[in-house]
Amino acid sequence: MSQISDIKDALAANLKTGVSGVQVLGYVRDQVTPPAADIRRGTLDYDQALNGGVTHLTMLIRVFVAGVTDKGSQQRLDAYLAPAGDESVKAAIESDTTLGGLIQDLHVTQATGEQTYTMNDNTQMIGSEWTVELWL
Amino acid sequence: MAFVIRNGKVGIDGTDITSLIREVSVELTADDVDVTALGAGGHGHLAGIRDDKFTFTAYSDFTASGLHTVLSTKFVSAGTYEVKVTPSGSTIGTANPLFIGYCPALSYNPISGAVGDAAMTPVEMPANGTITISTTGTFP
Repeated sequence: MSQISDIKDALAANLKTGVSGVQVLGYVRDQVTPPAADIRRGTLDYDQALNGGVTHLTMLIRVFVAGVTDKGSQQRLDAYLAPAGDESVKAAIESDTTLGGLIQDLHVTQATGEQTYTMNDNTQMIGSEWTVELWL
Repeated sequence: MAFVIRNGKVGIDGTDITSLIREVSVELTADDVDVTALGAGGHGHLAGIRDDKFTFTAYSDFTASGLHTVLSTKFVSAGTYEVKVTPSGSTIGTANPLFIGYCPALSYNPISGAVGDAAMTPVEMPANGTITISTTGTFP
Protein backbone atom coordinates (compact mmCIF):
# COMPACT_ATOMS: atom_id res chain seq x y z
CA MET A 1 0.00 0.00 0.00
CA SER A 2 1.23 3.52 -0.75
CA GLN A 3 2.36 6.04 1.83
CA ILE A 4 -0.73 8.19 1.15
CA SER A 5 -3.02 5.21 1.75
CA ASP A 6 -1.21 4.44 4.99
CA ILE A 7 -1.65 8.04 6.10
CA LYS A 8 -5.37 7.95 5.38
CA ASP A 9 -5.74 4.72 7.34
CA ALA A 10 -3.82 6.18 10.27
CA LEU A 11 -5.96 9.34 10.28
CA ALA A 12 -9.05 7.13 10.24
CA ALA A 13 -7.70 5.16 13.19
CA ASN A 14 -7.10 8.35 15.21
CA LEU A 15 -10.62 9.54 14.48
CA LYS A 16 -12.22 6.19 15.34
CA THR A 17 -10.35 6.07 18.63
CA GLY A 18 -11.06 9.65 19.64
CA VAL A 19 -14.67 10.14 18.54
CA SER A 20 -17.03 7.44 19.74
CA GLY A 21 -19.63 6.02 17.41
CA VAL A 22 -18.44 7.63 14.20
CA GLN A 23 -17.91 5.31 11.25
CA VAL A 24 -14.70 6.25 9.54
CA LEU A 25 -13.41 5.11 6.19
CA GLY A 26 -10.27 6.38 4.56
CA TYR A 27 -12.10 6.65 1.25
CA VAL A 28 -15.06 8.54 -0.18
CA ARG A 29 -18.28 6.52 -0.24
CA ASP A 30 -21.47 6.69 -2.27
CA GLN A 31 -23.68 6.28 0.76
CA VAL A 32 -23.08 6.90 4.43
CA THR A 33 -24.86 6.00 7.63
CA PRO A 34 -24.33 8.92 10.00
CA PRO A 35 -22.43 9.76 12.01
CA ALA A 36 -19.75 8.96 9.47
CA ALA A 37 -16.55 10.39 8.06
CA ASP A 38 -14.46 10.09 4.97
CA ILE A 39 -10.97 11.26 4.17
CA ARG A 40 -10.12 13.11 0.97
CA ARG A 41 -6.79 13.97 -0.59
CA GLY A 42 -5.95 17.68 -0.75
CA THR A 43 -3.02 19.46 -2.29
CA LEU A 44 0.53 18.13 -2.16
CA ASP A 45 3.49 20.50 -2.19
CA TYR A 46 6.54 18.49 -3.18
CA ASP A 47 10.19 19.46 -2.64
CA GLN A 48 9.72 21.69 0.38
CA ALA A 49 13.35 21.00 1.27
CA LEU A 50 16.39 20.17 -0.86
CA ASN A 51 16.64 16.66 -2.27
CA GLY A 52 12.93 15.97 -1.65
CA GLY A 53 13.51 16.27 2.08
CA VAL A 54 10.01 17.45 3.02
CA THR A 55 6.60 17.08 1.37
CA HIS A 56 3.67 19.16 2.58
CA LEU A 57 0.34 17.41 2.25
CA THR A 58 -3.19 18.55 2.98
CA MET A 59 -5.93 16.07 3.84
CA LEU A 60 -9.61 16.88 4.20
CA ILE A 61 -11.77 15.01 6.68
CA ARG A 62 -15.48 15.36 6.06
CA VAL A 63 -17.85 14.31 8.82
CA PHE A 64 -21.57 13.80 8.29
CA VAL A 65 -23.89 13.81 11.28
CA ALA A 66 -27.54 13.48 10.24
CA GLY A 67 -30.52 15.32 8.84
CA VAL A 68 -30.37 19.09 8.69
CA THR A 69 -33.16 19.70 11.23
CA ASP A 70 -32.31 17.05 13.78
CA LYS A 71 -31.47 18.72 17.12
CA GLY A 72 -29.37 15.83 18.38
CA SER A 73 -27.19 15.80 15.29
CA GLN A 74 -26.63 19.53 15.57
CA GLN A 75 -25.53 19.13 19.18
CA ARG A 76 -23.23 16.31 18.09
CA LEU A 77 -21.68 18.58 15.46
CA ASP A 78 -21.07 21.21 18.14
CA ALA A 79 -19.06 18.64 20.10
CA TYR A 80 -17.15 17.55 16.99
CA LEU A 81 -16.21 21.16 16.20
CA ALA A 82 -14.86 21.91 19.67
CA PRO A 83 -11.09 22.52 19.77
CA ALA A 84 -10.71 20.03 22.63
CA GLY A 85 -12.73 17.45 24.50
CA ASP A 86 -13.85 13.86 24.20
CA GLU A 87 -15.73 14.29 20.92
CA SER A 88 -13.43 16.88 19.35
CA VAL A 89 -12.35 15.87 15.85
CA LYS A 90 -9.30 18.15 16.07
CA ALA A 91 -8.19 16.56 19.34
CA ALA A 92 -8.76 13.06 17.96
CA ILE A 93 -6.71 13.67 14.82
CA GLU A 94 -3.92 15.35 16.80
CA SER A 95 -3.79 12.55 19.40
CA ASP A 96 -0.80 11.12 17.50
CA THR A 97 0.88 13.83 15.45
CA THR A 98 3.35 11.50 13.73
CA LEU A 99 0.76 8.82 12.90
CA GLY A 100 2.97 6.19 14.42
CA GLY A 101 6.08 7.53 12.71
CA LEU A 102 4.59 7.71 9.20
CA ILE A 103 5.03 11.48 9.02
CA GLN A 104 7.05 14.22 10.70
CA ASP A 105 4.11 16.23 12.05
CA LEU A 106 0.48 17.21 11.48
CA HIS A 107 -1.77 20.08 12.47
CA VAL A 108 -5.53 20.44 12.18
CA THR A 109 -5.78 24.05 11.06
CA GLN A 110 -9.39 24.67 10.11
CA ALA A 111 -12.97 23.43 10.06
CA THR A 112 -15.52 24.81 7.67
CA GLY A 113 -18.24 24.93 10.33
CA GLU A 114 -21.72 23.67 9.58
CA GLN A 115 -22.25 22.69 5.98
CA THR A 116 -25.15 20.99 4.23
CA TYR A 117 -24.10 18.13 1.96
CA THR A 118 -26.33 16.53 -0.66
CA MET A 119 -25.75 12.80 -0.90
CA ASN A 120 -25.99 10.63 -4.02
CA ASP A 121 -29.57 9.71 -3.17
CA ASN A 122 -30.39 13.44 -2.86
CA THR A 123 -30.82 13.31 0.91
CA GLN A 124 -29.19 16.14 2.80
CA MET A 125 -26.96 15.92 5.83
CA ILE A 126 -25.19 18.47 7.90
CA GLY A 127 -21.57 18.12 8.71
CA SER A 128 -18.24 19.84 8.45
CA GLU A 129 -14.87 19.44 6.79
CA TRP A 130 -11.59 19.68 8.67
CA THR A 131 -8.29 20.63 7.04
CA VAL A 132 -5.26 18.69 8.19
CA GLU A 133 -1.78 19.90 7.26
CA LEU A 134 0.85 17.16 7.24
CA TRP A 135 4.60 17.25 6.80
CA LEU A 136 6.19 14.10 5.38
CA MET B 1 21.95 25.74 -18.74
CA ALA B 2 19.06 26.70 -16.51
CA PHE B 3 18.14 24.31 -13.77
CA VAL B 4 15.74 24.02 -10.88
CA ILE B 5 17.18 24.00 -7.38
CA ARG B 6 16.20 20.55 -6.29
CA ASN B 7 19.16 18.42 -5.32
CA GLY B 8 21.56 21.01 -3.95
CA LYS B 9 23.60 19.86 -0.99
CA VAL B 10 24.37 21.59 2.28
CA GLY B 11 26.80 20.26 4.85
CA ILE B 12 28.04 21.69 8.13
CA ASP B 13 31.04 20.21 9.92
CA GLY B 14 30.74 16.97 7.99
CA THR B 15 27.02 16.52 8.61
CA ASP B 16 24.72 16.48 5.60
CA ILE B 17 21.75 18.71 6.53
CA THR B 18 20.35 18.84 3.00
CA SER B 19 16.99 17.30 3.80
CA LEU B 20 16.20 20.13 6.23
CA ILE B 21 17.06 23.02 3.94
CA ARG B 22 14.18 25.05 2.54
CA GLU B 23 16.26 27.86 1.04
CA VAL B 24 19.95 28.34 0.43
CA SER B 25 22.00 31.30 -0.72
CA VAL B 26 25.74 31.68 -1.29
CA GLU B 27 26.59 35.35 -1.42
CA LEU B 28 29.99 36.52 -2.68
CA THR B 29 30.31 40.26 -2.29
CA ALA B 30 33.00 42.86 -1.97
CA ASP B 31 32.91 46.33 -0.53
CA ASP B 32 32.30 49.04 -3.09
CA VAL B 33 35.28 51.40 -2.79
CA ASP B 34 34.65 54.78 -4.32
CA VAL B 35 37.67 55.99 -6.27
CA THR B 36 36.04 58.93 -7.94
CA ALA B 37 38.55 61.64 -8.83
CA LEU B 38 37.90 65.35 -9.00
CA GLY B 39 36.35 66.29 -12.31
CA ALA B 40 35.08 62.80 -13.06
CA GLY B 41 31.80 62.56 -14.92
CA GLY B 42 30.72 59.51 -12.95
CA HIS B 43 31.67 57.51 -9.92
CA GLY B 44 34.67 55.24 -10.04
CA HIS B 45 34.32 51.90 -8.30
CA LEU B 46 36.84 49.34 -7.08
CA ALA B 47 36.16 46.04 -5.46
CA GLY B 48 37.26 46.24 -1.86
CA ILE B 49 37.42 43.71 0.92
CA ARG B 50 35.28 40.65 0.46
CA ASP B 51 32.28 40.02 2.71
CA ASP B 52 31.00 36.56 1.74
CA LYS B 53 28.30 34.65 3.57
CA PHE B 54 25.98 31.67 3.48
CA THR B 55 22.30 32.08 4.22
CA PHE B 56 19.92 29.17 4.84
CA THR B 57 16.39 28.65 5.94
CA ALA B 58 16.14 25.22 7.57
CA TYR B 59 13.38 23.24 9.21
CA SER B 60 14.10 23.13 12.94
CA ASP B 61 15.34 19.76 14.12
CA PHE B 62 15.93 18.90 17.76
CA THR B 63 16.56 15.18 17.34
CA ALA B 64 19.62 13.69 19.01
CA SER B 65 22.14 14.37 16.25
CA GLY B 66 20.03 16.86 14.31
CA LEU B 67 20.49 20.44 13.23
CA HIS B 68 20.24 21.87 16.73
CA THR B 69 23.11 19.71 17.92
CA VAL B 70 25.23 20.63 14.91
CA LEU B 71 24.68 24.36 15.28
CA SER B 72 24.36 24.92 19.02
CA THR B 73 27.53 23.07 20.01
CA LYS B 74 29.78 25.37 18.03
CA PHE B 75 27.80 28.44 19.00
CA VAL B 76 28.17 27.73 22.72
CA SER B 77 31.89 27.12 22.35
CA ALA B 78 32.36 30.11 20.02
CA GLY B 79 33.76 27.77 17.38
CA THR B 80 33.95 27.90 13.61
CA TYR B 81 31.72 25.97 11.23
CA GLU B 82 32.99 24.37 8.06
CA VAL B 83 30.19 24.98 5.56
CA LYS B 84 29.89 23.25 2.18
CA VAL B 85 27.27 23.89 -0.50
CA THR B 86 26.85 22.40 -3.96
CA PRO B 87 24.31 23.32 -6.62
CA SER B 88 23.24 19.75 -7.41
CA GLY B 89 24.30 16.52 -5.80
CA SER B 90 27.54 15.47 -4.16
CA THR B 91 29.69 14.74 -7.22
CA ILE B 92 31.98 17.75 -7.41
CA GLY B 93 33.18 19.05 -10.80
CA THR B 94 33.19 22.03 -13.12
CA ALA B 95 29.44 21.76 -13.60
CA ASN B 96 28.86 21.28 -9.89
CA PRO B 97 31.38 23.34 -7.93
CA LEU B 98 31.83 23.13 -4.21
CA PHE B 99 31.48 26.33 -2.21
CA ILE B 100 33.42 26.11 1.05
CA GLY B 101 33.63 28.60 3.85
CA TYR B 102 34.78 28.70 7.46
CA CYS B 103 32.29 30.67 9.46
CA PRO B 104 32.55 31.80 13.07
CA ALA B 105 29.40 31.08 15.05
CA LEU B 106 28.16 34.64 15.51
CA SER B 107 24.46 33.94 16.01
CA TYR B 108 22.03 31.06 16.36
CA ASN B 109 18.26 31.27 16.01
CA PRO B 110 17.02 27.76 16.86
CA ILE B 111 13.32 28.33 16.28
CA SER B 112 11.27 30.85 14.38
CA GLY B 113 7.68 31.02 13.18
CA ALA B 114 4.09 31.81 14.07
CA VAL B 115 1.59 29.36 15.52
CA GLY B 116 0.62 26.83 12.87
CA ASP B 117 3.78 27.34 10.84
CA ALA B 118 6.48 24.75 10.36
CA ALA B 119 9.20 25.63 12.87
CA MET B 120 12.12 27.12 11.02
CA THR B 121 15.74 27.89 11.82
CA PRO B 122 17.04 30.85 9.83
CA VAL B 123 20.82 30.73 9.52
CA GLU B 124 23.23 33.45 8.43
CA MET B 125 26.91 32.57 8.40
CA PRO B 126 29.44 35.23 7.38
CA ALA B 127 32.66 33.64 6.23
CA ASN B 128 35.95 34.29 7.96
CA GLY B 129 37.96 35.45 4.94
CA THR B 130 36.31 34.34 1.74
CA ILE B 131 34.16 31.52 0.46
CA THR B 132 36.27 29.47 -1.92
CA ILE B 133 35.02 27.77 -5.07
CA SER B 134 36.45 24.35 -5.87
CA THR B 135 35.89 21.89 -8.69
CA THR B 136 37.40 19.09 -6.65
CA GLY B 137 36.75 17.81 -3.18
CA THR B 138 34.21 15.78 -1.31
CA PHE B 139 30.85 16.35 0.28
CA PRO B 140 29.98 16.67 3.15
